[in-house]
Amino acid sequence: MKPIRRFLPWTLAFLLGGLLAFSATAFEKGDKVWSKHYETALLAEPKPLAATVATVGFGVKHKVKEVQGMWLHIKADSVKGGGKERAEGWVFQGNIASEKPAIAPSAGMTQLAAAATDTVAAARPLAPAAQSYAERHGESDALADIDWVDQQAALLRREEVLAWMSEQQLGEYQP
Amino acid sequence: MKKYFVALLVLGLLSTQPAYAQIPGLKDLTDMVDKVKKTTDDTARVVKGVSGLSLEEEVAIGDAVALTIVSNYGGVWRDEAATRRVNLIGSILAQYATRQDVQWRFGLLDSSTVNAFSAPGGRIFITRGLYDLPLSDHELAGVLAHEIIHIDERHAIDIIARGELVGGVSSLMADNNADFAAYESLVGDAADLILVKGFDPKTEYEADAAGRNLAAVTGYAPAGLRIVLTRISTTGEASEVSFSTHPSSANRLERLPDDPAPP
Repeated sequence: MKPIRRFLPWTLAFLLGGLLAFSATAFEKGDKVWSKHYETALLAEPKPLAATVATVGFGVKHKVKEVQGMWLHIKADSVKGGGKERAEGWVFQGNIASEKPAIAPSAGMTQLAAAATDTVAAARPLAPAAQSYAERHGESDALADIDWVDQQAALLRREEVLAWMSEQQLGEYQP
Repeated sequence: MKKYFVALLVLGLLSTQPAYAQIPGLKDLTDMVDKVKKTTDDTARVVKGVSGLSLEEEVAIGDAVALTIVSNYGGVWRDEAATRRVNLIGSILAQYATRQDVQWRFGLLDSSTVNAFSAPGGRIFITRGLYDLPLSDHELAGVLAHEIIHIDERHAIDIIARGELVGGVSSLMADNNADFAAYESLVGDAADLILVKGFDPKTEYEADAAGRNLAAVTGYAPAGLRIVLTRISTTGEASEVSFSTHPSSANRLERLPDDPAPP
């Protein structure tokens, strides 16, 4: 009995820790969630290639109506003006936030700009202030290195990423 | 708001100052305007400090910090295949981060030390020494997710935004010849935080936990980071310099759940 008593608190602490860690990502029916992308597609079914039934913008509050694995059936919590049918559909939990996102994606510096060029990271040069900083500090080698990293990042195409995710069963493509 | 309005109104009057130059009491009025202007400037500075820097300001600081990181860690390791791999896994993780306002870039540093860094604004680097441990995709995802969380949660930029010199960056954004000293100071503070002092342990443990969750949501094994830390702490290879800007691997492992290793 003694060994059990000795290890019981540790076992309970471990189980509680595991439960807390799990609950950090688990959503439940009735939870409030927010869209975080510039546009989020709500799907007819909890599958990555299901038809889009609605598209919601950034920072829209929704309520979780149903949970299936890592997919949530959500419905817009309210619509300004009322009367309008509220958007609802399925969304992968990685595409929504459990807290209201503070900063909206802004034009020119976001994944949206990348989408326009079909690459994951749109070509964005180093900030002008940082370029001046490099000149003042004689960091031309570091500047060239970061340019190289940016060029490499811009080579990665969105379709390649999606193909990899599908093949490796990542994100929405998880079984 | 009122203060801004008053300042604008009086500044508008002052723009016609020559015509009123001989008006008695003008000196007092000018002094008052200066006082109001200083108050509004100070207020703006405080508001910045509370609400944080704008994305453009964050990027301006973060890009200069990235230059410092690169020059302090042997430059960029220009391995195309490895760089493509970190960008592939990093960008998959980043699409599930909360912040979608930043552009994420992932690079490798030509250094044999074992470490990883995130610069505000979305640039993340890991060293060749860490990459070459070697890391499986799950392990690499665990490391990158931790660094993504530092940017996602604005850990560095929120600390910097509490400083006195934040207004200097704002003026730099508007006028390229403006306050270089303030900007340089902010960049220096940020680089010191990221490259020398590191975040406080609590912040690092939070990044470990949230990074684990990000990896798990993305479909990578939640144990990825744990496996990397275990290897570093058990092999004893240069454990004192591994993740030198982070808490000890042993302390980090104590706080991470004992997730099963991926098959």
